[in-house]
Amino acid sequence: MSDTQNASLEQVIACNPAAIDPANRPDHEVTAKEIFSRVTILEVKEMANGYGFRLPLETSMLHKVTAFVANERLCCPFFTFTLVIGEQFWLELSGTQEVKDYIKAEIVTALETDNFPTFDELQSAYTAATSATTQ
Amino acid sequence: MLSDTTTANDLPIACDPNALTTEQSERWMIVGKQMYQSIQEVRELANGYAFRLPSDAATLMIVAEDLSMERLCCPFLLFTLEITPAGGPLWLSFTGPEGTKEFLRFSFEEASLLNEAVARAAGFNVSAGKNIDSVETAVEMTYRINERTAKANGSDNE
Repeated sequence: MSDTQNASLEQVIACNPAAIDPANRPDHEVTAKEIFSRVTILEVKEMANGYGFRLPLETSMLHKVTAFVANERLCCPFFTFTLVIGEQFWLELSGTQEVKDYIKAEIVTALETDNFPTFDELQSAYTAATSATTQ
Repeated sequence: MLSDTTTANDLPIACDPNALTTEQSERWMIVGKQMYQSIQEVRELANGYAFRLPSDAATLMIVAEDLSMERLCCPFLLFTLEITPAGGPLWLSFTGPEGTKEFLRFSFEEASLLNEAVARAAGFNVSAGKNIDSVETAVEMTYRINERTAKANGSDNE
């Protein structure tokens, strides 16, 4: 692969679920669904560079979110994840404007409609995005 | 747990080791020490400190376990864990109301939690730092740090 192609791939704003170890994928999908549900998310806030999601301030949730981030950062390496633990517990996802738009489309909207993409749909979107940037 | 009307700014700058169960305290002896020893760099903030940690999943899980306990005994602290893009470092910051920074500095100077070279590079005077070798030592040290912080801030935190 040429340097130009590498540079293009680095700029792709699409999550690659295949980057997660196959052995960890089922648990990751379950954890992601548990966290990003309308029952669990108590509040969503828009930030200058992303979105924040308020979660129950519980030890079990802290562990779930951390496990989620440990895998999610592999497939979405363009995200900055920030866990804020004080009087409240917030998970913030942020990045460039393009990343913010992606979070809005893939997470905030999905949360509103309760219609998150499946593993296969994410993989197809990633393949399409990388194909588009390398052509 | 904070009540609806209590904010971190109202809380004393003090940690309560009794907020943890015996099992949690014993677990912290392993997890907490492991987390602090893995800190690679300390940066001073206006209202606390930030710590750079290795960027691996195991460290992430250790940090989560540590924070799940530290938040119970030190409710005045705000913990912020930033996981930077593209496998970059983890930055964990401890911040809080006025007096928090002194509390943290006293903690790192009294207890040999940080790697010595990292602590010295951050400007901490660790020459008299003591090893935390038991839960009892940790509890005693916490009360001493609480008292030292209260004196430094001219208050009566217990």
